[in-house]
Formats: sequence, structure tokens, C-alpha cells
Amino acid sequence: MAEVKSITLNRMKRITWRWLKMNERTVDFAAEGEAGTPSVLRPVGVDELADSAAAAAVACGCGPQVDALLENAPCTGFSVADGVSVDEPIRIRYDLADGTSTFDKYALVVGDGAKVTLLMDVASADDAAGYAAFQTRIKVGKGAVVDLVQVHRCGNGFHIIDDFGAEVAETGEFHAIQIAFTGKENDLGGHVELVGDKASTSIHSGYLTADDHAMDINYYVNHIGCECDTDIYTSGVLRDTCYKVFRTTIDFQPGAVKSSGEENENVLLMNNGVTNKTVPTILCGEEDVSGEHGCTVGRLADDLIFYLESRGIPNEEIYEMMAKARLEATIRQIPDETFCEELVEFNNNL
Amino acid sequence: MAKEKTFVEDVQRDLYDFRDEEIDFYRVDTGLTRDIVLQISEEKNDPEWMRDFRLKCLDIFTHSKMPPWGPSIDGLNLDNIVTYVKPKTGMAGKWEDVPEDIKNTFERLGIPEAERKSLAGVGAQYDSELVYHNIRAEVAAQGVIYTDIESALHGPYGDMIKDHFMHLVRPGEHPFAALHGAVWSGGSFVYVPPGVDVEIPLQSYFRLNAPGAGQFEHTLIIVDDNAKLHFIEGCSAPKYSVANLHAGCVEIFVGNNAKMRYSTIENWSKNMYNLNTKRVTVGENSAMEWVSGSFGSHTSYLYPMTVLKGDHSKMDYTGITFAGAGQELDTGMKVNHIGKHTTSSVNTRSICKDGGISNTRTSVVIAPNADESKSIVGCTSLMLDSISRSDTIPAIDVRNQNSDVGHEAKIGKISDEAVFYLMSRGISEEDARAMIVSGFAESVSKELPLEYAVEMNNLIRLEMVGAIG
Repeated sequence: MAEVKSITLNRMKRITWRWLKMNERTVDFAAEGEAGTPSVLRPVGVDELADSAAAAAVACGCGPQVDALLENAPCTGFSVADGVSVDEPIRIRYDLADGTSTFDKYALVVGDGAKVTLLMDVASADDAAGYAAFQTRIKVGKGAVVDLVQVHRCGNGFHIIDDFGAEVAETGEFHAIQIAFTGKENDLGGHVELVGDKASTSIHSGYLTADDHAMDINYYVNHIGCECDTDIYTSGVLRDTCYKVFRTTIDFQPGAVKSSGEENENVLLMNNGVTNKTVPTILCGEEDVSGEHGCTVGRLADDLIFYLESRGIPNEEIYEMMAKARLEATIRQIPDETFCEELVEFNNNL
Repeated sequence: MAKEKTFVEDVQRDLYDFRDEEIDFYRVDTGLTRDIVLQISEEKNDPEWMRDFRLKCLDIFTHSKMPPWGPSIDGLNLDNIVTYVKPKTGMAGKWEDVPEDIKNTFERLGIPEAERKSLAGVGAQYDSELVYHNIRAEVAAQGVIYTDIESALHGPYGDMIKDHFMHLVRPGEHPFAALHGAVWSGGSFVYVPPGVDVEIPLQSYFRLNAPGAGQFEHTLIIVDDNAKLHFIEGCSAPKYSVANLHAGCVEIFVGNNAKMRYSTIENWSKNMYNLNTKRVTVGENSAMEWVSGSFGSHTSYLYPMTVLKGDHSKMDYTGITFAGAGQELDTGMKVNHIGKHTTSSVNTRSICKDGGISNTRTSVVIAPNADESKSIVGCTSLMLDSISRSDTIPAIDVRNQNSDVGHEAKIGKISDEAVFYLMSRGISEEDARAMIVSGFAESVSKELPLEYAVEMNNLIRLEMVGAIG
């Protein structure tokens, strides 16, 4: 197994009381990794990025120690020219082998008015163990639309770090979906800079965490331009003695007038013994904005249970059914029907 | 009369910004040393355990680090702070016996009048010592104890104090709890016996007059089973160019089937570092209510904490913060659900203007055994200009499956739609905006005793003189 070192990641932009143990996460992770061997499908309309340095300055969400960890990792770059709308997604699939440590970076530069989807599917055998760390940096041009989908379905011994960053120009749109079914530890990071006026982003995540596994998420969206919009939504299911922290920060800089941001979380706890932590932060330096968050943690609504029980469904089955439904709701947002159906089936067979 | 201008005025502090000369006051040296702690202990005639406790706290303080997460307290240099200032008087049981200048101070603050009109008892602290303490005879006859904590320490309740003093707020929790344990002085002790309903409130008022001084009062309240109490705390200080420090501590023990309400209007001057710690533990079927208004201070760290220990216990928190120019007020609350069927309801409001910074920091923890517990937290912030800041940092930790936790936060300006709606009903824009700010604060003011609600409305004064310019 790889030599490990301690790293701290997913530190909140504004920290809070230390006794809550939510401010950041310190983990042991592979000190070094090798380039992975994914299958990469680059559709017509997507070019190789001549110089990945164009996106290198884009900040990611996990923080400087993950940047340092992946500093020497190989970077695969893609670009889409101005005005090009790519119908087929870029598909990157990993089938991670047991005992491996994979470090890879991706860069995507999307020109003005262009449109593209990047799908990343990271999987392994159920009983495989290892490490994998990825960073994906994206520059979204004016009026461009980019969808990023990252899915983890790794073995029960895998520790995955999946970190993205995006910089969105005027009227550009960046939509991210992160789904984690399994894996011993999942550390997800996201950092979006809404630089141009009327830029927007949505970050939706779904997770199913069980056993003694860990799920740690840190999203940060910086509102710089005027009339920008953010929608962050996460929906998850926790069972057994798993551990989850969800940090999200919407930061309205002075001058980000008429911007809006919304964070929502919905967590279903399947049993006692889970650790479920949430810090939905709003930082506001501008008067003329609207920032909101809401969260619902706990069990299913009584009226829903009553309705389903009255249809003859036992309580335990209701919870299992609703757990799958939550994941499926996130899966259904993936803008690729083939991949979507594949994941629905995977979810149903869990 | 024609109205010329509308704006939300900054907190009006003129009422509080007067000072008395220190004549023949006793002061320890500035800074914090073992000798100073022993000097305070000797001055207070501490029992041995308390002297040892102070020294232990000093040791903890000298080895502790400042919190990395809150507003800057770089402007607070403890080497320049006087931790004990004793006015030239003992504690009086009648206002007539209080020295004239000090009595005038409290009269200007309206304390004796409030006592006559609507309070069951009053404690008045001036700098480091209580100068007045009194309780109505009929309340005392019920067995209610309301006295200065030093007297209680040496009286029949000495063992009770020993069993409770800094047992809820441990000195190792943060540096200012340790500092408090080392140099605490003044404050009140309240004991409400089982089954006693104190129908009208008790009040303690804290006045810090000395420049460069710290105030470290300790309030210990024990509400026994089936008892009921409303306690009011007020505080103010004149403004100085040097930093003052308030590091008080409030510990409240609520028994079973009991009810406690703690109301605070905090209006320290803008040179004050208000690093206060408040905590309550609540027994079975009992209720705790916090009503909190934070208007003053240069920098505040203030988060009353509730431990819902007993099954079916509950807590309500209503708080408002107003941060003006030069202020960074980091306020909020913490609640830990330990017992089963516990509930908490939190409603915080904050307003900031003229570059003021308001941070709303909360935590809700549901322990694994807290079955069927519920918590709902609402944080609403109103920004009145774009040079101010308003940050909301809520933390939620839920470890029980059969619990419900909801959290909502909203930050924004005065709603244009709301103004438009009111204007379409014939209300001028100025009046509409004033109504909205007033309504924003109302959820807190309506929870306060009348005279405090009036004070709060005076603090957030709405000037209605003219057209929008």
C-alpha cells in the first residue's frame, strides 16, 4: 500500500467553534500517486487544450494542501472554441485497480457562447482499496454553458478526493453534479468564481454513505459580478456509523448587486449512530443581494409515512425506498440519458 | 408637519455616555499577575477553595491561546487592563445609603424608578463591586435568595455556590472563561426554592465607569423544581479612548418542571470588548427563554448556550443585534439537545449599517439519545448599506435518527416589493421603510418587559423628519 501523509483539506472560508470539529478535515492520504489510465472519449467539437496553464489559476475547493499534493500530477486539457455547441459529452471513465494511487488533473477552457458537458465516472471493484485524487479546473466563457458531472462508485477501501474549480464569465453558466455512492472516504471540493455579470452556477450533490465511511464536502461560491445567481442543493442518505460534514459558503462581495444565492440540504438519517454535520454559511458584504439557506435533517415526514403505510408498505421499506429516491432525484438531473439510466440501475441494485 | 428626511439612526448612546470622577477608589495594578489575583482574593476575603480556584484559572489562562475564529481582539491588551476597581462604598440595602454620585448614575439610568414600578429586586454593580442590592420583602418571604455572590459565598449558601460555581462554564473552555475565574468580582446569586413563582422580575444592572478597566461579574442562578423566575440584566458604560473589557459569566441551573426567562439589553460603549459567557442547564419538563438585545461594544463574542438535559425540556431564543460604525458584533447561541423529546426554537435578527459588522454564529447539536427532539433556527439579517457586513455561520450536528432539525437564514436589504406594497396602500416611502425596520425588530421588542422594549426602540431610533435625500 502507498506511503501516506497527513493533509488538511476542505477548510471553511470563515471558521467557527473548534469544539464542533467542522472547520476542516485532516486525513491520511497517499503521499504520491501515478497517472491513471481512464478511457477518455473526446467528442467532435472538443479540442485538446494546447496550454493547460490557461486554467491553472482557477482555484479549487479542497484547498492549498490538495493543490500541493497534485502539483506534479499530469493534466489533460480540453477546449471548446467560441460558439461551438457540443452535443456529446466528454466521457472520462476510471476503473481503479486494487492497491493503486491515482493522481490526475483536468482542465477545460470553454469559449464564449460554447456549450459542453464533462462526465467523470470513477469506479472500482467492490472490495478494492486505494487512493485517487482529481482536480478539474474550468474556465467558462461569456454566455457559455458547462455541465460537470462527477460520480464515485468505488470499493469499500477507496479514499477519493474530487475537487473542482470554475471561473465563470459574463452570462456564463456552470452546473456541477457530484454523486458519491460508496467508497470508504470521499472528500469533495468545489470553488466557483462568478466573475462576470449575470453569471450563474448550480451545484447539486447526492450521496449515500454507510458503514463507518466518511463523506466530507466543501463548496464555496464567490459572487463578484452583478446579478449573479447560485443554487446549491445537496441530498443525502446516512446509515450505520458513517460520518458526514457538509460545508457550503456563498460569499457576496461588495458590488455584487442584485445577486442571489440559495443553499439547501436535505439529509435522511437511517439510524442512530451516524454523525451528520452541516455548516451552510452566507457571507455578505453587499446590501442589494438576496442570500438564503435552508436545511432539513432527520426523518421522513409523518404524513408521508402515514400515506405509504396506508398503502401497505412497511416502515422500513419506506425508508429504503425514499433513500433510493433521493439519490435518483439527483441522478435524474444528469444531462445525459445513457449515463443517467446506467446510474439509476446501479442505484436500484445497491 | 412635513417630513424632510428619513433614515435609520445609529444607536443613540448619549443617555449612557456620562462618567463620574474616581475619588478614593481602590484599584489594583494594570495587567494580570499571580500577585494581583491574590490581592483580589484577599480583598474579597475568599475561602481557601476559591483562592485556589482563582490561581488554577490563572494558570489555565496563561497557557491558553486566543480563539482563531472570531473578530479581532488585537486592540485589547490585557497588560493595560485593570481587573479590579472598587468604589469607595460598601453594598447598600437602600438607595439613600449609596454615595450621591453613584446613586445619580443609576438614577439617570432609571434603575431606582424601575425597581419601584416593576421589579421584585434589584442589584446594581458599579465597576467591580455591587453597590446596591435589595429584594422585596414579600419575595424574600417566599424563601427567594437574591444577593451579591460574595455574601452568599460566606453565608449558609456557601456550599451550594461551591457545588455550582463554574461547573457549567469550565475555565478550560476558552481563555476568557479562565480569566473570569481568576479575577471575577461582583455579580449576583439567586436561588428560587421549589414551587416558588417569582411573579415579577429581578434585575441586575452593571455599570462600568472606570476607563481601562475590566468587569468580571459572576451571576449564578438556581431555579429549583417547579419554580419560576424572570431575570433581567442591563449594562452600560461611558465611552473612553482606551479599551475596556467585560468578561462576565452567567450560570443558570433550572430544575425539573421549572421555568426561567433571562432578558438582556447590552449597551456597552464602543470601546468595550464584550467577551461574555452564559450557559444554562435545563431539567425535565422545564423551559428556558433567552431574550437578548446587543447594541453596544466595539467587539462582542456573545453566544448564550443551553443544555437541554432533561427529557421534554425546551428552549426559546429571541435575539437582535444592531452593529453600527466601528462595531463587530459576533453574536448568536448554542443549544445541545441531550434529553429525549427536547425542543429548541431560535429567532435571531441583525441589522447593520455605517460599516458595522454583524456575525450570527449558532450551533445546534442533537445527541444520539435525544430521541424525538426538534429544533428550528431562523436567522434574518438586514443590511442598510453596502459598506457594512453581515455573515451567518450556522453549525448543525445531528446524531439521532428520530429528530427534526430545520434551519433557515436570510440576508438582504429592505424589500423593494414590501415598500411598493405599502406605498400602494397610500403610505409614503419614508414611512414604509421605517415600518419595515420597526417590524423587523418587533419580534424581539415584544418579548421584552415594557420599559426595556421602550429602551430598545430608543436605541434603534427611527428618525422621521423629511424627504429621502
